[in-house]
Amino acid sequence: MTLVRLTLRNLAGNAFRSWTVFLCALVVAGLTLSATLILRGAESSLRLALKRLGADIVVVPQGAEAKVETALLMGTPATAWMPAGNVGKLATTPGVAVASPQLYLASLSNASCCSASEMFVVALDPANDFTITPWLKQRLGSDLRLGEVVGGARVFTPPGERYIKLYGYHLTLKGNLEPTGTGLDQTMFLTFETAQAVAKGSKTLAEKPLTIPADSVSAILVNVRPEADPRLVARRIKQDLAGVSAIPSLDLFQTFRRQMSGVLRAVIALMGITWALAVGFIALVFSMAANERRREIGVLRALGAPRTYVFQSLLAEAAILALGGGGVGLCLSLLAIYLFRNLLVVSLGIPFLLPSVPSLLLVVSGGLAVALTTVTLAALIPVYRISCQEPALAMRE
Amino acid sequence: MISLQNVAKTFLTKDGTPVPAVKGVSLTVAKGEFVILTGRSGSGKTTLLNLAAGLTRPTAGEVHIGDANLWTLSDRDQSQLRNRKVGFIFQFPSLLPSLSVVENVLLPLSFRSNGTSGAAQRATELLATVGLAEKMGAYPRQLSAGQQQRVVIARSLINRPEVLLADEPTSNLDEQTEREIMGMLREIHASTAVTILLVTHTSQLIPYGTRALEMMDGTIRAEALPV
Repeated sequence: MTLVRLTLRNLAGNAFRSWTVFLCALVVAGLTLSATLILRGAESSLRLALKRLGADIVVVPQGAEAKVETALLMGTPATAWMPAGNVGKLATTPGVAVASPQLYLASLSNASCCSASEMFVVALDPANDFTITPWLKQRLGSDLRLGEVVGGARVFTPPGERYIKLYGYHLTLKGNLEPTGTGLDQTMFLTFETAQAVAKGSKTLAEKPLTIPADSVSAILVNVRPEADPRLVARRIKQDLAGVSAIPSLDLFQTFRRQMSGVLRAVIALMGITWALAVGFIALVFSMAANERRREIGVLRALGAPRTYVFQSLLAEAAILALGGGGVGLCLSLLAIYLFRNLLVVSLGIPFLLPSVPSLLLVVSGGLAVALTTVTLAALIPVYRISCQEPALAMRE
Repeated sequence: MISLQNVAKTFLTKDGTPVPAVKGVSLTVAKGEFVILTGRSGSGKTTLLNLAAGLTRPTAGEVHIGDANLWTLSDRDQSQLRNRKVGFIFQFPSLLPSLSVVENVLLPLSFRSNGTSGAAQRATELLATVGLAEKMGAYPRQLSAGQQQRVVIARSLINRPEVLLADEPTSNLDEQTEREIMGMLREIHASTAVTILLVTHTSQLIPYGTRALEMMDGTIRAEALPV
C-alpha cells in the first residue's frame, strides 16, 4: 500500500471533504483564469488596435473623440467631419512626418443594397496611408484598386456571392487582416476613390444615397518624426488648428482604459473575497476532517507512521484535490470564455482577444498554481496540528 | 523487554489543573512474558500502556523497549522502532474503513522503505490463522466486531513484533468471542514467544497471562490474583 494509494482511498472515503475542497479549488482557479484572460485579452486587444492604426497622433473633429474611439474599438459606425484642408496644414506642422486622412462611413441598416448592416467603413488615401497600405503591399504585392476592399478578421463575402454589396455597389474582398478583438475586426477598408464611386452609384443603386461632404475628412492619422515628442506635437496641432482634437496614441482609448480599470478593481475585489472565503472554508473543512480522522491518524502513528508521513499524506490529499478541482475549473472557465466571448464584449463593453497558445498555457499554469497554493495554504495549519499531535491524545475520544 | 522507570504522567485540564494519571510507576516486562494489567476505569492502565508504547510523552521517568530509551529517539526512529518491534491491539475499532481487510493487515508495512517481500503471503497466512481467509477482500463495515478484532490481531502480527500491546481487546465483544480472541492470543504467545502486555478492566482475563498486575489510582498496587 503506497502513500499515493492510501491517499486516493482516503479521498474517496471522505466524500464531503473531498467535494468541498474540489469545488473551492474549482472556483478559485476558474475565477483566476477568467479574470486574467478577460483583462489580458482586453489589454492585448487595445495594444493590437493601436499597433494596427500605427499612428502617433489621431486628429479628429473636436467633440468627436469618444465617437471615433468607440468606432475603432467596438466597430460601432461613427461619422464626423472636418475640413480636408487640415491635412495640408498638418503636413507643415513642425514634427509631423506623415498626415494620412481617413473617411468614416457606415453601411445602411437592414437594407438589401448592403451585405452587412451598419458596418463601419474606413476610406483611406493610398498615397499617404500607413495603416493598411504597407500590409497590403507586403501581403498582396499591390495597392487597393477601385472596387476592392480589405476587411477586418470578421468581414467576409456573403456565402454564395462573389461580392460584398455596399449601397448597391459591388466590392471585391482582397484579404482579411489579423484579428485584434476590437471593432477593427468588423471594419471594411477601401480607398477614397472607391468611396466616391460608391457614393456616386448609391444615388441610383441604394435605398438611400451615401453622402460624403465635399472637401471633408473624418480623421487624420499622424506619424511624427523620430526626434519629435508625440505629446508636444499634439499640443502644437491643437494650438495651430481650430476645431480639432489631437490625441497622442498613448492617450487613445482612455475611456476604455478607465472602464477597464473599473472592471479590474471589481475583479480584484471579487477575487480577493472569493480567495479569502475559499481559504477560510477549506481550512475549516480540513480542520473538521482532521478532527474526524484523529483516531485514524493516531492509529497510523501507533503502527509506525512518522509525523512526516502523516503530514505528507494529508497534504498530498489537499494537493490532489487542488489540482483536480483547479484543472476542472480551468477547463470550464476556458470553455465558458470561448463560447461566450462575444457576449463578454457586449456586456462588459471592452474589446477582447483570446491569447496565443503559449500565453494561454502560461495563464493556465498560473491558475493551477493559485489553486494549489490556496488549498495547501488553507490546509497547512490543520494538517500540521494533527500530524504533531501525540498519538495517544489523537486516539482519545 | 519493556522497562518503565519511575514513570509519571500528568494531564492538564482546560483550566490548567494538573491531573496525575500515572504516578512514578516502575515496571519491567521480561521477554516472553504475558502480563495482564487489570484495574478499574480511570486507574491509569491505558495511560501506562500508551507510555510503554511511546504514544505519549511521560512527565517524568524513562521508558525502554529493548535497549532503546524511547524519548531519546527522534520521531522517525521512534516510529520505526514501533513499526518493527511492536504490535498493537486497540479497544476501539481501529481498522481503516477505506481499506480492505488484507490492505489493513498490510498497512504497517507501507511505512517501511524496504523488507516487505513475501508480505502478501504472510498476510494471507495470518488471516487464515485468525479464521478470516475468505474475508480478505471485504471491507471493515462488512465484518462483525469480533471479526474486525481478529483482523486487528492479524495486523498486529504482520511485522513479526517482539512486543504485543493490547488495550482492552475484548471489551466490546460478547463472552464467546472474548474467549476465542483470548484463546488466540494465548496460542500466539505460546507459538511465537512474543512479549505481551494486555490491559483489561476485568480480572476474568487474568488466567490467560503468565503474570497479572493490578493498577489503582495511578500506581501498581500489587500482583493481581486469579478469580
